Amino acid sequence: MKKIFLLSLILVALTATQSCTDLVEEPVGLLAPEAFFQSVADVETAVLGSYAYIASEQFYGRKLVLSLQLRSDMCDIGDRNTPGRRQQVNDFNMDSNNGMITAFWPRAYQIIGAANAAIAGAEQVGEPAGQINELIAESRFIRAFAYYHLVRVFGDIPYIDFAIDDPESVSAIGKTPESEVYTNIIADLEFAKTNLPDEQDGLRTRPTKGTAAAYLSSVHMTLSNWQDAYNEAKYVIDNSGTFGYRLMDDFATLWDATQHDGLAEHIFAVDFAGNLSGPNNQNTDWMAPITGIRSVTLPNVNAGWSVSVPAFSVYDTWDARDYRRRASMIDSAFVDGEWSGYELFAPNHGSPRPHIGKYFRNPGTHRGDGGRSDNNYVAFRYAEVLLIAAEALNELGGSEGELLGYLNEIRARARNWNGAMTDFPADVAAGLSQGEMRDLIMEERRLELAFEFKRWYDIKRRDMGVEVFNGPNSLEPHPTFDPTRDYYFPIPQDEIDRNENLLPQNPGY
Amino acid sequence: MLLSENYLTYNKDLGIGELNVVAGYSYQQSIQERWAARGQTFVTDASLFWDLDGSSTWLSPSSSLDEWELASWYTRLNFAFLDRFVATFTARYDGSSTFSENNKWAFFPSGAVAWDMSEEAFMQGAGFISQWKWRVSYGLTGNRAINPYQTLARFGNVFTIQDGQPINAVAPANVANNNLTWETTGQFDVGADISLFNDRVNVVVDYYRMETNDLLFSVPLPEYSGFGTQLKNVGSVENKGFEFTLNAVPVQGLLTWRTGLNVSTNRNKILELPDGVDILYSSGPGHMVGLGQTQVLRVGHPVGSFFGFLYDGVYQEGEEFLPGGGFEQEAGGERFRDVSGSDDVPDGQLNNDDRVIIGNPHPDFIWGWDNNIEFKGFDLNFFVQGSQGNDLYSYTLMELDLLAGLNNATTAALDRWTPTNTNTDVPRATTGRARRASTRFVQDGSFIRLKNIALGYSLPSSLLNNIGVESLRVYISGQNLLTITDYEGYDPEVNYRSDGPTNGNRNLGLDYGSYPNAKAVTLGLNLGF
Repeated sequence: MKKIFLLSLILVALTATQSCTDLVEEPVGLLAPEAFFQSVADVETAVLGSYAYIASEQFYGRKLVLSLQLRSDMCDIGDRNTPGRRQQVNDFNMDSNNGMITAFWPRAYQIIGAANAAIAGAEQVGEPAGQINELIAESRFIRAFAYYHLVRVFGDIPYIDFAIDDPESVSAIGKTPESEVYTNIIADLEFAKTNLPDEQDGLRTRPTKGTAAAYLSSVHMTLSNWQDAYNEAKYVIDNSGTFGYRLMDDFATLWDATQHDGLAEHIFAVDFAGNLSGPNNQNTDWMAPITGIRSVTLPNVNAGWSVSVPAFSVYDTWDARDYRRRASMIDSAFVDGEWSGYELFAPNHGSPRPHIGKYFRNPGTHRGDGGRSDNNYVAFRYAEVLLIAAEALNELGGSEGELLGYLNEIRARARNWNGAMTDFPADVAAGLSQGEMRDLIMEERRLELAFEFKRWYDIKRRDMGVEVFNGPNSLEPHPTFDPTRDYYFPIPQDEIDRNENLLPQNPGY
Repeated sequence: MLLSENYLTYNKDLGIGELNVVAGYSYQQSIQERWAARGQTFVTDASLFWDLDGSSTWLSPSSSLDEWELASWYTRLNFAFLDRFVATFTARYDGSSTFSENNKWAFFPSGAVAWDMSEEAFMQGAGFISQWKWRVSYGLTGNRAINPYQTLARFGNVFTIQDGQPINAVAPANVANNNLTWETTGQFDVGADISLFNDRVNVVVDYYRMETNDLLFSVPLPEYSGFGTQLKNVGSVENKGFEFTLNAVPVQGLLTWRTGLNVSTNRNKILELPDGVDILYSSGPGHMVGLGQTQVLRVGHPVGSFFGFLYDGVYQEGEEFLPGGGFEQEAGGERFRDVSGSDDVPDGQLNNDDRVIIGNPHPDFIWGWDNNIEFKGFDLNFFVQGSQGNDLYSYTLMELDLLAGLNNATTAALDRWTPTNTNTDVPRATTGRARRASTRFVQDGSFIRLKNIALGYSLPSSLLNNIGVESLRVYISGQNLLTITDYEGYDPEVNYRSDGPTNGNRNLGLDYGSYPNAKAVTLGLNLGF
């Protein structure tokens, strides 16, 4: 018995040191959110995280913006050997497993999740209030930016404006109605406009007061709140000196990646650095090759993929005297060493016609076919502010002189052919009816902002689908277009499978 | 890695039997440091990796520190009595750092009794029975096969481009789980070990039933949460079945034949899921976007059941096409069955309500048969293995036989529907066909395989002594020489995405370019001195 007692004692002594372990995990080199936020700099680091998801293949690098291009009447499928998910979007034949939506839907919510986490961290740090509010404003802007895309693409959606600690808390949430999502977007942008600085060290990749106001004008335009749309656009125009906004003298400057950083006309841009990419498709963009031309060589790039290619009518109906056509499209290039017209473009890939030039012609540093480019994709530029002001003035019956001033500022710039002034497009003259002016502005938007991921949203908000896809002057006829279904994309099926409160699916899917 | 084992043993002869007790405590700690530096384009290869600063392109370095602890209190009590009974009782109290706070510790008892019936007086007349032992046991075991820090909320490193330059930033990567705990399996087993005819025939028979609760499972989260998956304890699964092993020496003498046969059946069934809701998931390769979900966890069905549409061949000219967004509406197009609408009756259109369970990756039974025949100096050995009744899902065929012009196809493409070749179930070639999980890519994975065969000859030692060699055997053997299967892929023994603690148990019977078992023939010589 004594022996047992002794042995027990030794055992206790041996184990005492170890058994008091509480098995608590203390990770080193991993960032726990609650411990991470200590200073303003930490908050800023988290705010910047959202941009990594915006500048990724699933969002502004391809999936979202390519979907918006293809959905419109300005971009058709070139090479029909391209995957079905793209053709479904273009041909109004989508199903709810479509590989475009299943990529950019989750990515949009990662952007939102990162913004919400940064806001929670900012509130935890709290001081100094001025700097913290600027960062909260930046994250709320980013959140609004993501929801603004989501609500236009999907309509009613789950709306989350808090950092998620426990996924159970949102596992059964329902959809927030479209109108309420817009209300929240406007609230975020109003807060951003109040609290953001006038400048971000000249960067156009982070928002300022001007960026928030420009987006407010766009949101109000989408909702046909014309007075608010005008007020916000006017605010940006009146303060363009403060924000450093102006039209570039040469339209082509906008499409040269070597000149993109901090470009004065850019109000918000998504910056990609050339030949660099990270995990999960960070900083990976393919819009240059996917809009570029098979089997051609240009001075700065060769052999794109001919996937998103405008119908020939887009080129054919665009006045050849318009410098913007030349800068926006490519109609001649080296094919097999010979300078050739578009007839020889991609002969075996179904698209011997002019291609988009905005992303492919001058992509800066890239991997050869324009992929992983140095493009800064412009999400909002000053010319659009002028167009929104003009459109709102027309709807409000406001000053014709002011309206024409905005439009003709854009037209005057378009007359500058790389320094040589021409006389096309002529100034818009006074005396058009409201309806004629509305049509003219929509056409001006279509050409000035061609291929910039704006046209589909214009078709949707102006309910032009039947006209532009089924009408006699359709650039890209689609008999399958169904206005009761196709203004919305389907909600990804796997999301509905996980949470049936997301039912009903959008009509027709 | 630190491992400390401390235990006491106690033995006592109680007259009717011997009692043996062990009690102890063990503690394990693992600390894993990783560190990597990388470079490209060196001035010379001569310095191997000892001159990283000699690289022209410096790539990003990485490092990490992973730590886990495991602590256990345990005891085992063993009592052998009356020369024919053995009773064992064990208990463990285990704690693992990898689980959530308050859920780190769990208790795992087990008990077993064995009875050697052949020692009983009433068996003494049956001289051909050398052993007949009954066993029965029940016990709980725990699974903690997860990586550290899975329960903690974490940020991950990302980078953003500002002013053309990359800047490091963080974004949420993992969401916390404050309730994660041990996966626990309760297993009941009853069996018998029987030896007959002086051990010429040995039979082992078992019936078991396992119920695994709180399964550790990487659950896909709603994407609108901003997170991908979360490790959770979900539901419970039952496995039950019979196992039968026979080893015998049917012929012994000049010619000796030893043979062994084993057959086992297992039935797998999900008993419970959170709220009883299906968990759909896909395990397809990443580039196959738009694939949708290919598998389902559903109560009452086996884990890893395949999920998709019922493929009804192709549409013919003049037939009515079932409407549905994204579904083909032309002759030669893929035709799927309208199973259900939202209220469980066919609604005349195709949509995601028409997806059903389309295959079971679990076999009805698997078996193996091993033989060894010796005659004079010759020995012949062969092993046959089989699996019966399991389905395979081939992402390989899904890729190759999409017939959308994206890649090469199998020879099935030669029989595709064309206006002149209409009597086929291979759809027409068309661009833009969406990938759709369906019975078209589910196949019977049953097989019988000659896994191993070897023929050898050993020279008589009388011949060898003269040349100073103890033994000499020449042989020829072959692996996987013969396979009988209807599966159209390379190899029915597939293994796509079946690795890892959280994937392995749900990804079954998937093929995507799985590396096939090689057929091999070996000529050999064994020399002993």
